[in-house]
Amino acid sequence: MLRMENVSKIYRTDLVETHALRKVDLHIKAGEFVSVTGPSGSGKTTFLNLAGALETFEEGDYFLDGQNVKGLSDDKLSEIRNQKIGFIFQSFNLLPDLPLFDNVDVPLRYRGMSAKERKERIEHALETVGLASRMKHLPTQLSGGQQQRVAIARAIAGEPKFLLADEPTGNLDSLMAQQVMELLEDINSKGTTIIMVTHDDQLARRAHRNIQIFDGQVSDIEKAVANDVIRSA
Amino acid sequence: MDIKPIFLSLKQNKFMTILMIVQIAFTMGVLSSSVLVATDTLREWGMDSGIPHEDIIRISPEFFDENQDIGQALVKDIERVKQMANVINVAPSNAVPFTAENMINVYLTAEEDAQEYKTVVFHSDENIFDVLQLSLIDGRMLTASDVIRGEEGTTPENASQVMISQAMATALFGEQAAVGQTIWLAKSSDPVQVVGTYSNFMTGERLNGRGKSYQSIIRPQVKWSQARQPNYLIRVEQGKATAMLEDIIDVFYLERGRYINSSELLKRTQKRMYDGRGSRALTMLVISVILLIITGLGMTGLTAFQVTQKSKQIGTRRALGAKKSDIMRYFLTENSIITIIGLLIGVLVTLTITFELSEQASQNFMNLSVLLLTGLVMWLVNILAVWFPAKRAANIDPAIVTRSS
Ligand SMILES: Nc1ncnc2c1ncn2[C@@H]1O[C@H](COP(=O)(O)OP(=O)(O)OP(=O)(O)O)[C@@H](O)[C@H]1O
Ligand SMILES: [Mg+2]
Repeated sequence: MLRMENVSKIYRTDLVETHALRKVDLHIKAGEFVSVTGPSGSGKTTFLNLAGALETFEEGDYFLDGQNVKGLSDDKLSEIRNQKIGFIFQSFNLLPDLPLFDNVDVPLRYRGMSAKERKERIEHALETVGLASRMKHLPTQLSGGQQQRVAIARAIAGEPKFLLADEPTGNLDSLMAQQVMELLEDINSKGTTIIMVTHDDQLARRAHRNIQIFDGQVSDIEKAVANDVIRSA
Repeated sequence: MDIKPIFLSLKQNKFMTILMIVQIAFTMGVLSSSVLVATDTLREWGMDSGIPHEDIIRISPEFFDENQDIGQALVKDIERVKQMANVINVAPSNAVPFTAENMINVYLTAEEDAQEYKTVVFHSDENIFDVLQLSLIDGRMLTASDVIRGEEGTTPENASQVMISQAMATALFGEQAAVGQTIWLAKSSDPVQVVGTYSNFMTGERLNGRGKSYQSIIRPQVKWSQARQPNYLIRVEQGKATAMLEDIIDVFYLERGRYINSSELLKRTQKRMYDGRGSRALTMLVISVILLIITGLGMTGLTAFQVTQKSKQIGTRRALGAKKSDIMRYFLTENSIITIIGLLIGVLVTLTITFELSEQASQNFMNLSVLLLTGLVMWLVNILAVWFPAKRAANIDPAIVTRSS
């Protein structure tokens, strides 16, 4: 599970202070599939970056899998990212010099697994996304949808508890977006918690729960819907 | 460390990789070659001259008046110098230690294809052994009765007996006794007999450069012509040479129709020889060090460029769990792989260059420990060169992966 209590994130530059997140209180349970929507610049990526320990914050507390992430050392944060979180990005971010096999291998190597175990996991992950036969290909030899599937394989190979995706279908046409979404749903059905930022309302609605962010403030749709139900009753 | 992904990445960036390898190989080749030659030169600085050079003065007078009798002047010069207080002995000589450049080839047989041995022949009289303090090793000393004197042209005969230095004897005859042997001082001609061997003394730079500093022959003859006038080697009481130099020059100016072309303590002659070689070695070293710095800066530049270019990839690695130290290690390992390959090729380059140089100078410059040390220094310089851009890479914010597209 993932819990944020009163978390704020302020970006300070010489000229301006941006309150990218304001006093966020949020609880995401294990196994949930949560979509995050909101206007551009509202703080979705910032939220995902904090959740994924890619960025630090000064105010509030954040518990990931029971551990308070606040104030941990850079090395410790690397470890948490490596072991508990899988990332999927809008622009795929595969390493262009490495064949698919070695791309999926990257997080596993940082985990210090044996070569044999890594190989099994890589092959399994690539099978899951349907690209096992292209292990030796370079990322540039694949279509965008295929590249994103490799990125998903890389994210799940280490079997992390959380999968964080920032507009994973943003660079894909609708057919490929469908495939990726189905893949994510499949992975979620096996127990992995997924948080997905998206601009696509249709995809957002397929999640168990939708979180909306406006101007750095989180409003929880599931709760809101529940409240509406109570009010109307 | 995980080397495989580094190799895969290097393979994808062949041009850059090869460029860096070539640069390192080239630098290693030039650097180690000049270090090898320089250390070899510097080692000579400590070599024994074999003579009391601090107490010996050389005077080289030259008649410009063609009507003067050089032979007579020779006798008078020696008489006058010997009468001076604190002069121990004087000998005329066609060559001067440390500057003897008239290198010739001598042979052990009269055959056309006889092997060549490089040496310098000193033409002098019996006093040279006392002046240079050469001691008898084997056979007999040359005496006054062995010496042939006369003007060139009118005195056609040459001395038929010579003495050779110990080093010369070893070079010519190895373990065999030199005394009684015959040497041909020119190809198929001018045979002379060895009557004795004397202790080694340094001849000059051209033999030094070939590792044959001590190979010499003394032939007991004093011949002169207008074109070739003898030098004088004068040994004085210990520590008196500097003070006496002016007085000795004055004595030589007593003879009319000539000037003193050169006059100095052999101490200075020796220093001059080393200065020339030393500064050449130094120049090479300075050029090499500049090259090393350029290579280092080039490495820093190329790595910094790659760090900028690959910042997104580095951020991705960080996001996927790489620690700062992992990123550091990645770049240092990548650089070490390139450096080691470059150094190995560089060693081959060095071997070729030094082999060529050694052939030319018939002297072995190769020195494995110097080569290893140079390689180590280059490796350290490269580590240093990559350290700072690698540090910058390690500090790339992992959030870069979600921020820029
Ligand atoms: N590194 C930063 N420095 C300063 N301001 C930043 C930084 N990163 C984000 N911001 C600001 O924080 C706010 C939230 O940005 P964020 O990227 O989280 O928005 P977003 O909801 O992901 O937008 P989009 O839908 O366009 O991706 C924006 O106003 C943005 O300009
Ligand atoms: Mg965003």
